[in-house]
Amino acid sequence: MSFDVVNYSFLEGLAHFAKIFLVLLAVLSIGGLLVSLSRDGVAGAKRFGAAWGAAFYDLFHTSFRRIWAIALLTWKEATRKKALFVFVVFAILIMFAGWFLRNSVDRADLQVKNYVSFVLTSISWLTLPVILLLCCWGLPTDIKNRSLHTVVTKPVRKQEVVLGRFLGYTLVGTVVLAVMGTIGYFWTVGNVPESAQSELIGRVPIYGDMSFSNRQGNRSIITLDDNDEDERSAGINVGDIWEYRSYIEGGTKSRTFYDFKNIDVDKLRQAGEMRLEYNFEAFRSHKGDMDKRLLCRLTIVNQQGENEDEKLRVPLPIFEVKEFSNRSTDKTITLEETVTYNEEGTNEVKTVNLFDDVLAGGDITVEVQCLDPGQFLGMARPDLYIRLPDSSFASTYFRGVFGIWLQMVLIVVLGVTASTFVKGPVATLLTFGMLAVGAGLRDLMSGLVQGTQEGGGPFESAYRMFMHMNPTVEVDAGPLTPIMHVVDSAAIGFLWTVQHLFPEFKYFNMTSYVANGFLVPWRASLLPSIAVTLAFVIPCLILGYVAMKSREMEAK
Amino acid sequence: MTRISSQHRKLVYLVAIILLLAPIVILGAPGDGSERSGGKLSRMRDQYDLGETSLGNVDPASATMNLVLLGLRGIASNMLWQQAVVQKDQKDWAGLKATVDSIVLLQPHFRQVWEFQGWNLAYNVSAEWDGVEDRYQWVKEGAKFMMEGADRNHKYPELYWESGRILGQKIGRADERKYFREFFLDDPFQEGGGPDPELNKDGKDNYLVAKDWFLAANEVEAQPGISQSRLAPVLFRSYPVRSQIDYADTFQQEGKFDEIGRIQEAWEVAFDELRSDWGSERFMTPKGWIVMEVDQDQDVLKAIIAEEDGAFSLSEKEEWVDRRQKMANYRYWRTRCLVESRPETIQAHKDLWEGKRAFIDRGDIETAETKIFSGLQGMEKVLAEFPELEMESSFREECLKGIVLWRGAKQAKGEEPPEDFPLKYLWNRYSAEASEYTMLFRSLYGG
Repeated sequence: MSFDVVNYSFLEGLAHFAKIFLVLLAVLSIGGLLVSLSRDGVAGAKRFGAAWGAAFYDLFHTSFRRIWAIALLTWKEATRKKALFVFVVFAILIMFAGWFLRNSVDRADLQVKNYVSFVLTSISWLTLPVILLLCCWGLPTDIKNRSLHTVVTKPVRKQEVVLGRFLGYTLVGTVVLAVMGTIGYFWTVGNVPESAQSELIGRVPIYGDMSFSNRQGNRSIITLDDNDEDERSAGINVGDIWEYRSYIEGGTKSRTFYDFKNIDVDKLRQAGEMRLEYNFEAFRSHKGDMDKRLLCRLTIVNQQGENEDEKLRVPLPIFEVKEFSNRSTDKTITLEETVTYNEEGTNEVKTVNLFDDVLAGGDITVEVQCLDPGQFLGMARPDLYIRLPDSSFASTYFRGVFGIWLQMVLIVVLGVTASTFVKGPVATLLTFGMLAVGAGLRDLMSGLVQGTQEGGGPFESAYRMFMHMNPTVEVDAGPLTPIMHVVDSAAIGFLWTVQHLFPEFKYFNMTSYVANGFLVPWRASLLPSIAVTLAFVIPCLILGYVAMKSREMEAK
Repeated sequence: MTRISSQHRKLVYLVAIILLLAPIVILGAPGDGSERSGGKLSRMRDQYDLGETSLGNVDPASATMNLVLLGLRGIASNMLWQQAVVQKDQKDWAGLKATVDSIVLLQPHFRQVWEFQGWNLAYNVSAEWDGVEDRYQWVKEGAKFMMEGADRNHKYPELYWESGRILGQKIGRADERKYFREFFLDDPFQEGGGPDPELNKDGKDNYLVAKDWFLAANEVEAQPGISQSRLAPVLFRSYPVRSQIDYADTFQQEGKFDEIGRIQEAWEVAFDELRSDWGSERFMTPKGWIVMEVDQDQDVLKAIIAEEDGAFSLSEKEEWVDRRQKMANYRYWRTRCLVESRPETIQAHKDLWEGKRAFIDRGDIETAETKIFSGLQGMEKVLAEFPELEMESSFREECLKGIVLWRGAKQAKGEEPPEDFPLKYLWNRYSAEASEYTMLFRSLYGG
């Protein structure tokens, strides 16, 4: 994989959500109370209190039967709008996909990635726009046609209308996704060449923390939990334009250390083996022996023992690095229960038990060493992991589909909410804008907020453009510069506030995991996706309820 | 509005539709493939060779993509180029190949796309891989990509030429050539062994397959209305012969002296093709047409002058023949082919090769000294007859390195090299190169 897998802290996320949610709620409530007071005095305050009371009354008298009835109506409306025609487009795509994919790369192991990416991308690109349009236009059309009158004149509460719409569109999307996902699964399995079928798996990796030692053998003790970028990337930069991997020099004391903590030894014992899988990259500074790939050695160090001398060190057999291969057999080292090795220094042959000796205590370090002098071996944190027994391809594939489903739910929630207070075209633009910003401009926003984005805030950027100044050039200190910075900091402060209103879409993209044969991880991808979706459902429901309550249904 | 007026209106629409359809039918009626068939547009397409089928083989996927995208293919291909750059930087090789395939589906007749990306795959991507088999795999991908480009574009000689260049020079001259040339005949990724049928269905040497592609490039280039912008014509059209020379040269480069008859034949074919094909071709110069292969009596040039009604003099023609011969190093190649096809030259190469191997691989000083000395004597005879060959660096290098090894063998035996030895004049004349090779020898083997 070409990105780091970072676990999501649910409690931190929840605390962050609660903070923002409560602050927003408090600000809006106080604002509402002040407006009421200023307009009608004490009577206004009473009405404000009554509105809160009505809201709670509505909340506690929510009828799931009525929500379900509205959901079914939404389903009927969507099918009448020929939303399910999307299946036809999907069928055409699937029928002719072979034309476009068949000639890619002769190597079957590399083709798997293309097939899986194609299916999951097609599903999301077909489903999400249809759902976006449906949910943004549903309520405004009802209001325009006055068909909503037949609903709101019945004893239906406003939050039930909103919830019914949420549920109805979600139902439509779920059916579409279920059908497409299932067809896509069988299409993928059927089309991947026989020789690459074994790569349709869901690896379950355990990642460690990574650190390096320099060519003198001095190890940096900083781990990935620290934020010091310089210390983290303490390997050598070989000038690769992609700075994902750091390199160690062969034939020196330079090593990479992967620290694995609290390994579930019992789980491995049940499997009867431990698999280490690597994905290193070779960099040659001279031609060397062309017939051979770079040589590498892994040494497992058990962390029990006070001193380094007391720790058990098990050097594994030397192997050739097969970079970029997608075949798991090319890059997996399997250790059976009994491990025989040559002790460092004495070269004495020794035998130890994998579970009772090598993994005792559950804390180990795997040292990686390149053996070819003058050559370099590159690696990133996800490039070495303990591979637990694999999950089925179906399990990771359908997790990927579930990721698309969560995106769809989020779009439904945003679209329906937007359509409660603006008309269809505006709701579509608003939802699409949130999607586009959330998916494509989050990094830019956080860069601006954190001050890491070159070129400064909006006013400084405008000044630079006007003056034809490169973003890396310092702005001259003049009388207007402090003013510009103050104004910029106000704008960035505003951006800091609104950035939380845009959903973080990076978690939802699970295609990379599936395409690379990894099980979509719970803590790094599924949990944050669910959390983000839920985090938008509650505020959007409240907003939708308030909008429906306060708006004039006779709107044109 | 009344019912009648509505009907009238519809009738007017109908008449308007028919009237508008008429020119469309007249102008745009499809042809049946025969000359002068179809509407005006169809005939013009034929006349200017603008039809999809006249450009090359049609890929239905490509046509579908372009139809589906309407006028947005430019934007789509730009986005795909950007994606391809990112994928290359991030080493997503399968993704890169898929993206590149998509770009050519959108722009199947954009020559530079095929050239750039074919080169990218064969040279840049292959170099990123560590395993020599993997590198070969990507060279093949690049070659196949370029060959597909030629298949889709029958009017671009450059694509045929580039296909030949990857198959000939990339496979035959890369650092990994020893492996690549073996893999070309016995592909490591081919189930059951043997060559990759897409590249080499007859199991030929890579230079001979490249020669076929260069010949195809020349054929395309010779068609009326087609030109190439890669090289000067005199150089572009030399490549089939150059490939034959490269093929013949591999025997001595790789020490394959078992079948002297084959080596001789390969050089004779090269000599023959050089004179009768490349050398006899007419090339345009500011002083009219010329050929590079001219006899003592200048009969060919005189015939051309007569055809051109004496527009240019014989001396003007001779001057341009000389210029073009120098540009293409024609005289050297002709002499080289002639010399190399002789049994005594092959024997001299063989002696030098066997002496070198005896010295380096087996440490057999006696055999090395005898063989190399014999080889140097052979080379001395060749150079006495064809002194211009000493100007050619690879020929000279072989001789000077032979002397270095021979001197090394003498020293290893504890003897001082004698004052006089074969090719001594060459040793003295190119003393800088001689000392460079001596230093290299010492750094590798001491002494």
